[in-house]
Amino acid sequence: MKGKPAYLGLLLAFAMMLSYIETLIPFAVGIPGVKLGLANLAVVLCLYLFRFREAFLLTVVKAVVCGFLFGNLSMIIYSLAGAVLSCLVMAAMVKSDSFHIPVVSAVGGVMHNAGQLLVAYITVRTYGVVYYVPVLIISGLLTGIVIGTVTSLVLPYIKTVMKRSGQL
Amino acid sequence: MSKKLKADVAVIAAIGIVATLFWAIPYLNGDLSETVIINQDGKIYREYPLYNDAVIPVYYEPGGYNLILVSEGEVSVTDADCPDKLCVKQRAVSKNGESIICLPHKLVVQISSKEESDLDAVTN
Repeated sequence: MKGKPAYLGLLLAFAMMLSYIETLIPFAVGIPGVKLGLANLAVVLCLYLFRFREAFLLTVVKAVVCGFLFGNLSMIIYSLAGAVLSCLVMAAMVKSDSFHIPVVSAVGGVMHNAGQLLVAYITVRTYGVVYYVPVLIISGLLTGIVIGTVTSLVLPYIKTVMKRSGQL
Repeated sequence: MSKKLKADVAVIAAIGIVATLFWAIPYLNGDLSETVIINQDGKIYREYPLYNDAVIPVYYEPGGYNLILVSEGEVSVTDADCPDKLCVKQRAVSKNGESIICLPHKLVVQISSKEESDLDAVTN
């Protein structure tokens, strides 16, 4: 696969663009921490186009780069924890090949929030975060299903293009 | 139902159950908005639900201890080895903002509760 670095670069650019677009969308439901997670689209795509290694690389680079561009250092720590956990679980689910894409992505969304909450719990050490868990699980589930559905719609076309140019 | 769809439903159901469990925790475990906050040396050491009866030993690192009793929404220090034992002599606290302080052990036990104090203000 000669063009792999190019495709990974494209996916990273895609993720960065989505991160930027997300800052423009006023998707405020009144609960901090709840967001669409559009950039995960790139990670889910990467998991299905390549393997775990590439997706993991994309996840880490995405979190660091997007954190520096649109956030701050503490945001990088939170999103790294969430993104890495989410990527690991999703990779396992993709490998098992026994789930549909929206479900894989939904679990990824939930795990993303779970990782962030874990960091939040470690930093503040209050049982108060427990209140937040159900809210973030449900929001992760719903946004994950949306992202996964979009991925499953787009994936066949990308695969066709990649096959035609002999990349897959 | 295909095998894949079954797995999908199972995973979503499991996530739903976990979310419900976490949603129920504050109700089963006593309301977390009503807590006993234990401060040691100016930092929050632990937080406990006010309506969960418990005996909490707090150790003061240079040597010493306080034994905190949470019972039916009231908090008191039942035993301590500090020199003045003012914290033990103090009455039990239960209302928002009330506290028990043990100066020798740099310990502040404070109530965070919805039940407001009957007093408008306290002068010291």
